[in-house]
Amino acid sequence: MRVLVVEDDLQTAAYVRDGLSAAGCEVDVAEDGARGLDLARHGPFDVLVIDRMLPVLDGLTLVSALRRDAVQTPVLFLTAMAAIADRVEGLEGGGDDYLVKPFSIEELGARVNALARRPSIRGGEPAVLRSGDLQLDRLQRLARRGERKIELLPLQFKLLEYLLLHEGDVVTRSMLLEGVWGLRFDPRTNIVETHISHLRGKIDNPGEPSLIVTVRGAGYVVRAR
Amino acid sequence: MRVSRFLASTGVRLAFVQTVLLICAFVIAGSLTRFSVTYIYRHDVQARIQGEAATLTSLYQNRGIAEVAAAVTRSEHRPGGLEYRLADAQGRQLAGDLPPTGAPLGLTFLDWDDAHVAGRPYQDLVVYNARLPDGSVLTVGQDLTDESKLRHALRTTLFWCGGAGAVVGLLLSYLLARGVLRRVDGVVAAARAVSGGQMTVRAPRRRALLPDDIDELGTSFNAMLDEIALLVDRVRWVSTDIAHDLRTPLTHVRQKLERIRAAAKGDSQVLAAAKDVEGDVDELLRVFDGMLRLAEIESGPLAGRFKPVDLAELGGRVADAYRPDIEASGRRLSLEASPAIVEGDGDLIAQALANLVENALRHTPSGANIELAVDMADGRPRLRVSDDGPGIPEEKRQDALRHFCRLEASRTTPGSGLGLAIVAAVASRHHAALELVDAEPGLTVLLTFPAKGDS
Repeated sequence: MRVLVVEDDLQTAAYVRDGLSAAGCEVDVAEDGARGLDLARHGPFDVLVIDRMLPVLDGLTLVSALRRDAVQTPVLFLTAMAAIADRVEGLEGGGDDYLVKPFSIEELGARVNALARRPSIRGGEPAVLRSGDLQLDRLQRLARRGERKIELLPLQFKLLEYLLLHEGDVVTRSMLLEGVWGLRFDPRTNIVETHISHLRGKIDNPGEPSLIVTVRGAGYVVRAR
Repeated sequence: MRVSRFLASTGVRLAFVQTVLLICAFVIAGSLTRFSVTYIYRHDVQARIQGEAATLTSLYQNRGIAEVAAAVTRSEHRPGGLEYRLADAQGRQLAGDLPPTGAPLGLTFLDWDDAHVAGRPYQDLVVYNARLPDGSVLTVGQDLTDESKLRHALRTTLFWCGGAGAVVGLLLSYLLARGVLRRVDGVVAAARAVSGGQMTVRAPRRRALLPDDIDELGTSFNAMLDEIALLVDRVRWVSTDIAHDLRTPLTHVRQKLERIRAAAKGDSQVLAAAKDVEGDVDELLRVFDGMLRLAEIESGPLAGRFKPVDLAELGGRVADAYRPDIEASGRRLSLEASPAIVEGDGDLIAQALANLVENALRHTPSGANIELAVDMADGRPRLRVSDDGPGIPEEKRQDALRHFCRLEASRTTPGSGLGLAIVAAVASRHHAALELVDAEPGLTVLLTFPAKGDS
């Protein structure tokens, strides 16, 4: 996966480059907005990680210039501008995701991954999601593990659906809060952990390791063995 | 334009006062004029009849009674002339048309309603009786019908002029007040729009050769709004700058911590220390985020983005998110929601509701029931979070409510963050009322939104 990082803070740029490279990405770095725009226009990138406060050309202008040129590469804003208004501005201005500094490299990696493999890019969302012998029929709203039918509450269904849509990729706590419950703030309780543990109780076979794997410090991943 | 709204306008009230004053002035002027006209007229009449009586008396002295009678008969039929009666000492009428008046000697005003003299109706009459030396009585009188005609004409003139003045005055004030009201409405609408978050709206300006007080009001109002917009912008820039200046080093701290962790190669002491520092950094960020968020909500440029939000759906989401956690802690969470739509920011309301639920979770013992309800109270959408925990004693409830709006509360209670201050800020941004009520036992927090169309 090729990622372009447009970031003027060299320390952060190096950190992101190292982190994403370690996760198997090929990373290019641009240190100002104009250079970033130039690279983004010509290089085939899977995801663009763009700071909002950049020298020469700010991030928002950069992205709207790209979108005007019909460059549809997914954009993740990585920025210190954390106000609700900034976030809305970023997402309405052509960004696909918004991550506020300081961030953990796991969170960034997970979100970059999710952007690169968005269903619209993968070619539409299938009606039936599978992982190993776990099946989720999204039209009939049925879950099944092998021959065993699984009764799920609506929210559990939505949670499992979200995890399966990102099968093989790490999803973080904040991605789940946003994607499943529509909550865009950090609750002070372990609500995600509790939901995951309930879901595990329903879908896992007794005695076997869980289908939903906890990735320490990052989030969860559903991976068929 | 509604009538009550119209009557509430200063211009119209002023017009009413002016009209009442105008009518009073006409009534007073009319009474005074009537009084002085009557006075002058009667004075005049008196002098005239006394003069005539004196002339006739001297005629008697020079020429005798027959001449007087002849003079009376002559004068009587002159148009506009006076009325006469000449009677001898026995009361026999010698000349003149006037019937016996029964008046004493001297000047008398008679009220002769419906009396007819020589086919003419008499109303009010002033008579002067003089006794001639031979004992006969000479009466000279003047009919006062002319005076009452004059008074009537005066009354009619004053009435119509006053009435027309009042009507024209009211009409003009109405037109003027309507124009003023429209322009004031423009300023009021602009003020509402701005306090609703549309910072770019300004009061309408008109091209006027001679700007009046309302033009001046609009101009100063707009100048004030420009200044406020500038301040809001500046505050936003400052918080963005602070955010950037603080977040960048914190980002570096985190990056360095991760490097330390990688370099620790499983040294549990170093790992624990790194985790500790990370916890501190996170707490710092949480407080910092909370303060910035609070400032953003309170400064309010968000309102321009308000959309219809279904509180029932939102309550359901928050309840679903928290239920497993609440149940795992040995408490119960119930939800009772009927549809209730408000204009607002769904993310903010969700955050406020979540803060209230977390608050209930923090301040109740295990085994407590937490209730989340969405309903309509008198047409106003309402969010309710109740618990059956220890609650807050009556005398401290007002204090607690104030703490909702102050940072001190959260500073003395570690872990609560700025949660309750944010609830208060979200409530005020949505013009919602925040109340603490005794749940008997426990605490109920009510968040009542304005009825549709009232916000």
